[in-house]
Amino acid sequence: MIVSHATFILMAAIATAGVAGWWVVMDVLRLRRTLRERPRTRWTGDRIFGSVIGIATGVIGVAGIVLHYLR
Amino acid sequence: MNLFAVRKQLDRVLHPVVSTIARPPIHANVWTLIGAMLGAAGSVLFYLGLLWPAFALLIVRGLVDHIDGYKARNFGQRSTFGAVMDDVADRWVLGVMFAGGCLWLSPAYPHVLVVMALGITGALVNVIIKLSIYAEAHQDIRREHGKIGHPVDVVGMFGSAEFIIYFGAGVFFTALLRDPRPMLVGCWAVAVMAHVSLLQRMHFAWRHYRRVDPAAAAMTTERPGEGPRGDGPPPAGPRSIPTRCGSSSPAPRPSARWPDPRPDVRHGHRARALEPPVDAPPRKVSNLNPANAITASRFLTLPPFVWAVDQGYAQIATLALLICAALDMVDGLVARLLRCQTPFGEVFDAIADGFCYGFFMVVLTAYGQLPWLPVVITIAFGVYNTYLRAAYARRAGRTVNFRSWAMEKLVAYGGYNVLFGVAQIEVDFYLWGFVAIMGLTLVHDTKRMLIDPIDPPEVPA
Repeated sequence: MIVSHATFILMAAIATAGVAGWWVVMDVLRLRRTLRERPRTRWTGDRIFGSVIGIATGVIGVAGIVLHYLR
Repeated sequence: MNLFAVRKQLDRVLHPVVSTIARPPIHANVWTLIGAMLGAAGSVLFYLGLLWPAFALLIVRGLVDHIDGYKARNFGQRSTFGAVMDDVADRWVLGVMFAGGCLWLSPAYPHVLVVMALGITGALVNVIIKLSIYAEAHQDIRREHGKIGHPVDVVGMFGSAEFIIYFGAGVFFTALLRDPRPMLVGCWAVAVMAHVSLLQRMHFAWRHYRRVDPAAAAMTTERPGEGPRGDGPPPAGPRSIPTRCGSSSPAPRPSARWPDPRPDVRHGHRARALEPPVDAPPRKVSNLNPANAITASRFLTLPPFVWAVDQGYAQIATLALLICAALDMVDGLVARLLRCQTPFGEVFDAIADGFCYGFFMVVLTAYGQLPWLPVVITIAFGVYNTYLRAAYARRAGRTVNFRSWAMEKLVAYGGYNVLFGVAQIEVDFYLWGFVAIMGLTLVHDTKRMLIDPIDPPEVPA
């Protein structure tokens, strides 16, 4: 054991929520920027889709941690 | 700003001592080796808790670090190898000494092992960001008396000298007071300040280079025969440039069609795009290169992971996972820094991602820590994704890794799924969420890989 189990879970939760939250913010910004891009190409479309998936992933990450501490 | 900014003044103060010690006919590289050996000995002394001798070695090693540079500069012993080894030995020594001290403290303060990991990670990433800025913004590199320099050198509150101050002060007071707490504070200071410094360097990069097009900057400064760290103009005749990333190739003479753009480039803001000379030979890059070696080394984390899960050591399993993920980030960076990107490397990286994370998930499922159904669906999706990529490569007629922004994010999510399994955090929620998002992404990618026309190479955003 490097740290206690409670500390380990807390660190994992912080790492998850932190990265997921950061991801949501970054992908929202990236999505806004990509949506303004003209002309639209297939690369643009892929980036938009990637940002939406990134936002969904981030929301799931944060929601899971909230769920864990609510139970 | 860090103590690197006052290096000249410090050199002046230390000059009488350094010049006296440097008199014996010992080559600069041997001094570097002596410094590394002193560091190794110091780390053992720290581990054994012999703090006074360890502290003395820490200081003496710092002095030896000055001597090798002095000797190289003043005795005509400069070499690129020496400069590289000086950098490597310096970081290695500080790392092992720090590790030795942390390991000595760990029986009394187990959490110091996490501090050790943070400190070493922070220090390593500081080196990586510095080298990355050197490579990406080499138009700002300058040389003074042969020593390479860049504006980023003086950015950040943590460097080798600061390490000796933070860590050394803690060691000194612990030895003096026979109380481990000052050294614990020193370890914390190293871990925290390394990350503060990292943020400062990231801010520096954002402030100076966020609007710089690396392609344009590279075209203006990369000339045949002079790499990004070239020391002055290239020699008049062709020469061989042996590199582990590429086969030896003769460098052509400087071309009049490749004018020196340096007067026009300050901090990369006015980088001009020039056409490369048409007679530049194509660069061959071997698949046996450092980046692919790092990718391959990710497989070494699999056995420790199985052992840790088998023994119920969740934290060690997490450590193996973190190392695997960190190597995934480093291999791409190394490939860019050493310019050894290859189509095989891209595909190999994707295979390593899928295999490592898939293996971790299977192991956790076998030990009952992950539900089997979403894992089976995930693996089936992974196999289908591999088929799609192979089909795309066949359509494109070359070995090519299909780039999908969404799938790149899912790779990170896959890594997190392993963490959730190890830590038992909302496993069902996360895994079923992953299955849903991966299914959606595969539908999107299926259309792009099998139906859409072959994409042209993407221009970096």
